[in-house]
Amino acid sequence: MLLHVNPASGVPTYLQIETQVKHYIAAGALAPGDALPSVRKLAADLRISTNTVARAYQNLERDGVLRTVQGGRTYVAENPGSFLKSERIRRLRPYARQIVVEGTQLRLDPHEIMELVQQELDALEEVNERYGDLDRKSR
Amino acid sequence: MYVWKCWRDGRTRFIVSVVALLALCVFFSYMQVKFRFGMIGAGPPSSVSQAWSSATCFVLGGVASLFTLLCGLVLGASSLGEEFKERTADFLLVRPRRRSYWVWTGWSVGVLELSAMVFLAAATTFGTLAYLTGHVQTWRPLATAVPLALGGAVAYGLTYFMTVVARNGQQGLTYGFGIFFINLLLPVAAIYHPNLHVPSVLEFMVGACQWVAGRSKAFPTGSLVLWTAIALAFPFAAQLLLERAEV
Amino acid sequence: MNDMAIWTENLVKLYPGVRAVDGLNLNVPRGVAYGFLGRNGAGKTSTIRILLGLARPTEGRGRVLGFSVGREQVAILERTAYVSESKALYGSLTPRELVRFTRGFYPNWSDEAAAKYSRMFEIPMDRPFAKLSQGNRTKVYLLLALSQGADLLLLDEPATGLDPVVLDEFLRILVQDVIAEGRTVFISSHQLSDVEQIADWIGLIDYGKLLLEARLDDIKSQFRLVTVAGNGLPQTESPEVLLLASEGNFHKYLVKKNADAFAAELSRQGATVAEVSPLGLREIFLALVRKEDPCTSGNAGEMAAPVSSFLS
Repeated sequence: MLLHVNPASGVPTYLQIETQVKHYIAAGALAPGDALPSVRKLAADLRISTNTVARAYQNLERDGVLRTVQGGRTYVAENPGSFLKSERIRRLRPYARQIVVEGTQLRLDPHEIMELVQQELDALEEVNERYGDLDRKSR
Repeated sequence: MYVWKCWRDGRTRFIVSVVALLALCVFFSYMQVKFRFGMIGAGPPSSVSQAWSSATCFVLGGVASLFTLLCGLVLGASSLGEEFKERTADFLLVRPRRRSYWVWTGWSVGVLELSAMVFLAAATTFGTLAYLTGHVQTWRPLATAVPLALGGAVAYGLTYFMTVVARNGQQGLTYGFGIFFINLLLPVAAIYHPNLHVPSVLEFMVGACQWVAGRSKAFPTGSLVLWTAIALAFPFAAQLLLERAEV
Repeated sequence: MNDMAIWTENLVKLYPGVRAVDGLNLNVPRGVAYGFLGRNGAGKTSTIRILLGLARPTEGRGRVLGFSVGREQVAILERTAYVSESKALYGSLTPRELVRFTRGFYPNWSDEAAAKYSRMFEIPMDRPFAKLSQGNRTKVYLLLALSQGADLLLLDEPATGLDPVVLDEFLRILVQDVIAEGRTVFISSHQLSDVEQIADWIGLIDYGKLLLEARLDDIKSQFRLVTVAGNGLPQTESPEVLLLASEGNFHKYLVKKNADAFAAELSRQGATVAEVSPLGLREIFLALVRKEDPCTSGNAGEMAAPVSSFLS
């Protein structure tokens, strides 16, 4: 799994990792059951502290995205985000709020903001399809 | 490991000094026996014993003493204090040892080197005399190694301490030399003030050799104690200084 | 204090005419990478030298790995590896001999590690130290420090003379062989990018005082640059808000926490919040050490004095 972090960015590194892992899963690059590199290996490869990677993995596990077994290996959870729907909606709400606040700040009207969200969903769908094709071909 | 390093640093200088001193001892013993007593090979017994006694006093008590003192002074200047100038004190003093360890270990290596040097000098003189006069008159010249080593240790300790004070070998050597010369000239003061007798280390070494050679009757106990105490005082003072020092 | 890798209480170091360390309270947890940042002369090296027993504190006390600074110094030195700023070693000895010299002091020394690092760094092991380039000298120092098996690495400007490839390799080693093993790394540097990469915690020192000590992640998620435009804006006083600059209508604040609430408050007071943006470490550093505004470095003289100081 190849990740990229930018330590100079204002976004905390652990958050960058979490976001990327979630993105990979959403795009289909990581499938349920896939193994993730160990904390030590990922940290060494990225040249960042193991504490940072460990925190990201812990958060993802808490969110139900990852699963760690006895031996210490970490895998993508079988049913990532398999919480109750109400719980899932609750978790997404802050992000929705952020889009609304930012969008309003930028003087976009609600229609434009909704359209933006739809565009992003469409883009993800497209990537998913492309990956899905490759995935089927390679199996 | 520090022992190894101290030895390694001074190895060449040690070998050169030893070779030079032994050469001097052989040369001057030869001069004594041949020119002063006009003999090589067996001579009349009284002459032989005089030759031995004279050589002990002059070669060992004189030449070797001076040489040893000079060696001691120079040796002290490449000691622990020099590490400050080279900035390696940052490295050394962060190794897990007490400050006293560095001082006494380094100092001991120097003293051992000086002792080895003077013992070899005494042995060489002894051997040369035995060879030149044809027989072993006495084993006593070997005993001069003790006062010579002690005198050397005093000179060594002096510049060792001054180098730690100045944190610089060259300055330490300069101060050490200065103090040493003053000490050398102190007996001169006795001429003007007969009641005042301040001991000089060279005087001690010469006097002890004279006792070994049989030329003086009194065993120099007082001097021995005094100069041993002074020899040990220098590294002790260096230790106290180093323990309180900011590196 | 005993569970901290490094702990100091009110550490003070006075030199003639200068307070090099001025009431420092460090808290470095075990098993983290701690970036100790500050300008040249801010007191970083003085602090480290006190911890190592090379200098004596004028006041205050400290503990390293649970042992008391000063009284239990040898115990500290047994467990601590140090890379000094000057990186001076015995000129006549070769790296191989320097390894031989150093290994005898440490029961936890690893010969395999020493061999591995000497290969990795491509150190000429048989050339006298005096003849090595600056980069090679640093590598030798790093080799000695990494092979020691220490619980704490104190690194003072460890990147001197290292090219980017070697530096990258060194960072990887730090992560893999030190931090991943639960040991602590304390890096003092003004190379912010290196520190930012690897640090979990940041301690920022200026004029001998600790301006900031926090997890880097928290700093990044909470510190914000808030730019507002408004007339006659009241100067907000709070330990969490620093006015960085004013230019005409515009004001730029550094907000340590609750930036959204602050922005909302200013909005309510009639200002227009132009931007709330996150800050990188470099910008935070520059803002806090009271020098030029990171965003308007071209506008000399526009700098307003801080309305509030903030001690962490």
